[in-house]
Amino acid sequence: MTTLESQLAEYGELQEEMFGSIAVDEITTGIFVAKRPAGRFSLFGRRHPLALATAAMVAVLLVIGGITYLTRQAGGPDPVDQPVSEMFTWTFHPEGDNSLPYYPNTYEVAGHDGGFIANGNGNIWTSTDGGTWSRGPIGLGLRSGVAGGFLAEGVDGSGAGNGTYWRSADGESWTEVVSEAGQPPLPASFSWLGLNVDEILDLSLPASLGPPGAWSGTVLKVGNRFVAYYWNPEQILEGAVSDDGQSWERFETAAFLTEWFDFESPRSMGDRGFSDRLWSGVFTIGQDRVLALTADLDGHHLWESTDGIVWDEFASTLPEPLLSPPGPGTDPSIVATHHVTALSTGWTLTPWDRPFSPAGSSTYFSVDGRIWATLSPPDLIPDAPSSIRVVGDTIFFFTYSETSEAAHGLQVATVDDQVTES
Amino acid sequence: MVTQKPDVDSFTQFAAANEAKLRHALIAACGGERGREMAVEALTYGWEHWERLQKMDNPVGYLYVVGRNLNRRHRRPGPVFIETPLDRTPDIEPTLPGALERLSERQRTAVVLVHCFQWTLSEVAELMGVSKTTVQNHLERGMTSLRRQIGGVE
Repeated sequence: MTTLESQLAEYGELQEEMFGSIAVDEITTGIFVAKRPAGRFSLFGRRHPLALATAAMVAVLLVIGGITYLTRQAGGPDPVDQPVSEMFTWTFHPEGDNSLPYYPNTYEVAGHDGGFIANGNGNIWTSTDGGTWSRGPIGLGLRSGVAGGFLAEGVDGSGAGNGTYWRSADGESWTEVVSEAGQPPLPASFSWLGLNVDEILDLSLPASLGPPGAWSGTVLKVGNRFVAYYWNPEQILEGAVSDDGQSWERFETAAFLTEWFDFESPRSMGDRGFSDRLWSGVFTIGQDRVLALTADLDGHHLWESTDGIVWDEFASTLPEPLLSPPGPGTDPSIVATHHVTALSTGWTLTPWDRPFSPAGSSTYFSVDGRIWATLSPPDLIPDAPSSIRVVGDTIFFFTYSETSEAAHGLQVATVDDQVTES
Repeated sequence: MVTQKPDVDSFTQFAAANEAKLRHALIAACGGERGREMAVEALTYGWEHWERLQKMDNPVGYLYVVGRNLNRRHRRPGPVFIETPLDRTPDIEPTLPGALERLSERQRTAVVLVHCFQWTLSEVAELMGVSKTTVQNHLERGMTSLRRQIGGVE
């Protein structure tokens, strides 16, 4: 019998035969005559007056649309006290020696004791104010900011490239996380929240959650409990709850949950046997209320839970682009939502891989999860690649424009003090 | 109008040394025909931004992201892997291409790069920006799924 591995190798040879080498003239021909590839990509790639005028028009429409949307909803059960544009104070930090690499070279930002840490261009970066940054050690992938320090992913000292975890109290000095048995005690996909960095070593995983290193899943902190969702060795999604991170009790997962672990690229949604829904994000407000966003071919659905285990569909007016079903033939994953994050005063929601998503190129903000409005720095160039990260009540908006190098940099917003939760 | 001419030689060397790697990665993500097409577009983007690209630590990884984003921007449906020609069917299960399409993108990327194009786990990890252990997890899960879908293979 032919093994799967040998079939794949044969299939690789077939791919190579049919879709072989790219000649240099295939790449460069269009460039010498100043033509870009056909498609939408060309509009904002030129400093053409029409493109710039269009950009300005789109910006105005986005602002008007956001305000109109907010105004229209103002008579609802949970009015927003003031326009989103007035809720934040933005400061622009242009690209420079003391600035973070701009999108897409910066991947994650986390906070700790009023300071910030980020990974970008293969380095760890630290900052006390979010605007001025210092380059740190090379080769660590940031995982999370935790109480008492930071957690990062990197390689061990064996030279074999094995993944392991590192912890740091200050973002500058890092120590490998190693158990008494000499093995990294943490699962491959690690997202424990709210633990003291020194207590990470004390965490243990029950056998039911799979052996260390093969574990994949994520953990919510709801109230004072931890709720884990993970794939067991049979590739079935299971749930477990724990009060201390040590002793876990399994529970039956809600039917709408699907392939959590691959929510960023959920092409296999539906093949897990749960439902045709895609879990595309989860976010917490306060200590004991969790919202989850799912996507399917009909659009998005918002779910609410007070314990992370039992979920009820939450009545909400999601941003209009997320309510629309994807077009014929559209990959449902494109309309998924990548970043859903919580501030003390509300939530932000960013369509997946913006601005390439047909769900829209805006980031949305909601005070209560019911009413959503566009959130953007005031001078953001529409359709320019950018990326948002939220740490505590600070929003980082990485901006990059092909039409203006002056737009390369970091927009940092802080929540206005007078904003109150409705 | 002719744009400012970048350093042709250095870009040509870069493209010659890395086009196969980028093409394989995008074939894994997008399927054969589209993956090659996106590799051409990503390299074209790289040519246009060569001055910035050559300063990057991982330019191939960056162009891989560019290619995937361009593919999404075209709003095409999922990846398409060619059917197995009849003269290859004794060696390749006809259901293999469809099974590859049904994998998650990260599982498929790990499976195709490691087993179709013989990349090492470290090479895949560098491309995807994750640890080697994470790639191993994607790979094992993808192979398990393929075996379940195809059936009757070792």
